[in-house]
Amino acid sequence: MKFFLKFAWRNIWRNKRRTLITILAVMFATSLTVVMRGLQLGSYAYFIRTIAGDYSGYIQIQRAGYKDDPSLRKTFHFTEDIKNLLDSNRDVVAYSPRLFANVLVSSGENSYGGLIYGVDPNFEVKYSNFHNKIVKGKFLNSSSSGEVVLGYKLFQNLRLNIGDEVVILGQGIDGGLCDGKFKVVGVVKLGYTELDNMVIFMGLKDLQDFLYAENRVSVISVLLSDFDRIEKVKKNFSDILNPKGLVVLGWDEVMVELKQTIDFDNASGILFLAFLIILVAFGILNTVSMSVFERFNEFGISLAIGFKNQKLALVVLFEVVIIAIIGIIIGCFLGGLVNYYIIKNPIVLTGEYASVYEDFGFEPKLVSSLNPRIFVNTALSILFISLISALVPVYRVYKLEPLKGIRYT
Amino acid sequence: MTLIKTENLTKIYSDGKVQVEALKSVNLEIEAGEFVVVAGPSGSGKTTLLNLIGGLDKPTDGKVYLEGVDISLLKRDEMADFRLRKIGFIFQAYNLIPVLTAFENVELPLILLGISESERRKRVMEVLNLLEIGELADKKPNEMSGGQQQRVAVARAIVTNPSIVLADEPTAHLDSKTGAMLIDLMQEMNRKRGITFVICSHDPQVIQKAGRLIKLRDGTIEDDKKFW
Ligand SMILES: Nc1ncnc2c1ncn2[C@@H]1O[C@H](COP(=O)(O)OP(=O)(O)OP(=O)(O)O)[C@@H](O)[C@H]1O
Ligand SMILES: [Mg+2]
Repeated sequence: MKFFLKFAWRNIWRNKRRTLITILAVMFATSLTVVMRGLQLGSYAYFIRTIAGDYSGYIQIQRAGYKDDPSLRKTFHFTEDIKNLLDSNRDVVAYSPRLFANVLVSSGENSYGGLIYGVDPNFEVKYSNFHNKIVKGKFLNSSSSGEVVLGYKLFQNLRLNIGDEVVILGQGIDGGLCDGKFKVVGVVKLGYTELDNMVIFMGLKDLQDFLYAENRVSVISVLLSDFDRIEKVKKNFSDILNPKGLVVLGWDEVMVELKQTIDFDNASGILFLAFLIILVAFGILNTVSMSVFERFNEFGISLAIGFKNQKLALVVLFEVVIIAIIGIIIGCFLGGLVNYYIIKNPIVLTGEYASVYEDFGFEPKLVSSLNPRIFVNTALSILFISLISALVPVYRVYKLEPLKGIRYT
Repeated sequence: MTLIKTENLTKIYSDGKVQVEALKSVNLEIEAGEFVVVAGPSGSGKTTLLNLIGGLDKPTDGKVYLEGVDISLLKRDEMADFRLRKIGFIFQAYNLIPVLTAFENVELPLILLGISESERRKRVMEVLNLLEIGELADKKPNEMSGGQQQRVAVARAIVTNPSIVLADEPTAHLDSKTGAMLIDLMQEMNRKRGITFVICSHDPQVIQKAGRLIKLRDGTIEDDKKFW
């Protein structure tokens, strides 16, 4: 075995230029793949972190059935038990109990549909970034009472000024109508047109009183220390909460559309890389074919003296593997360096792209990732495709007859 | 002891329409220890005969027995093993593997036989010294002269102590002095180690050294003389 490896190694360096070009091609494909996957996975993680961090949470606690029928009837009591459970789990970074309600909001002649986010400022400020998105006035705080913060479009539509009062009309948990006056203390721009058109932040306590839904919440959004904790915590919480009629959902179950968008983008990225890798495969096929072709005479002599075909084929396969592995290792290293650099110095976007990002409430920057999965998947795919592309020439060696080889020159 | 026996050995090459009868029903017996030279004009079938004996090619008709074994019955891998253990080959030129040193080229058959490293080292050095080419051990083929390369090829052919060495025009690419030295060397190996040689050649120097001279013409044995 040692000899065959040595033999393969020497054979590789017989035509230095060709080998170097092949290694370079493998290296290029590997590092490009690592960089592109890094940008993709990095962005996904950033999107998910940003969106989940404000809205769904990495995981979310709901009452069973809420997802299909998000009504007040499907809310649940935020008990001390649940609070203790969340507080005692080390993977939980922050959480926010929220109560949602669809209402009618009016000022003078103007009335619009609104969506109330009943949030507890004590929890909310630690959890989300909503308070950083205030464009006018201030966000709610723990002493807020009878105060609301509106989405900027709703604020514009209602032709309001900070300090004005709005009338909110809703339906309480008992089905009866309820109405109340609230003072607008701030305006927020979240970046999602839909929400900016209708969101109304209100203190959780205020909303619970308004709807006669004492101590009730629609969801508890939970932030974890990392994505890879999701499964574990979900399982752990489910075991405890399921018997109480509650369910624990992952961000991907709550924000199905985001998940689908990411999956689609991911698939198209992989398709592009598959194309790139296939190009490399042809390069390798070409190199191996040529190097095998040139050695037919030598192979013939080797067979004549008793070398077995399968061992010769194995040597050729070793040659491919060595070339591929050198290229893959250097490529992973270089790609990793680039990713590391981008993580440390995110690429700041300008122009049109930047405004799209900003509209959605993201910082206009490209981030990357050093997720080991990227390296493992890239390395295995390229190694696999290298072996596949070497199959034809290797098979020819396997089938070679000694005389065919010897006569070849 | 009869080492090689051919029975009505016939080889017809046919590429498309043209058929060439390269060997016509050749019957031949070679005893262990003989030093046989197969001579004859170009195209007389020397190489064809050698290839059939060495199991590199399949006869159209007839049989080859090596140490009593009908080699047509051997599978591809069995034949490879058989060649590895029983037969040494020396070709006209480009015998050696370019990326391996002389030592490693000679070592190769022993590696394929699965012999331990220390034993290999011993046997390779012994053979290289016997052929007085110990100083070439670390040289690659392209750093050696043609004559030196052929000597290394002889070393590789005999290092496994084969029953027989088949050599096809081993001196063809050598000047006459080097050629004479090479044939002397083979004869010495024949005498010292009792290895049977079958050498195809139309080189007069080689023919002159023959212990037995078989003349081929148009695929048949024209003459068969034993000198010693
Ligand atoms: N692969 C082949 N296909 C077709 N014909 C062949 C093939 N090999 C040899 N022949 C023919 O068979 C005959 C015998 O060839 P062979 O090579 O055995 O002769 P040789 O005595 O070794 O000649 P030389 O001295 O030139 O090496 C020749 O007529 C040759 O043209
Ligand atoms: Mg010939």
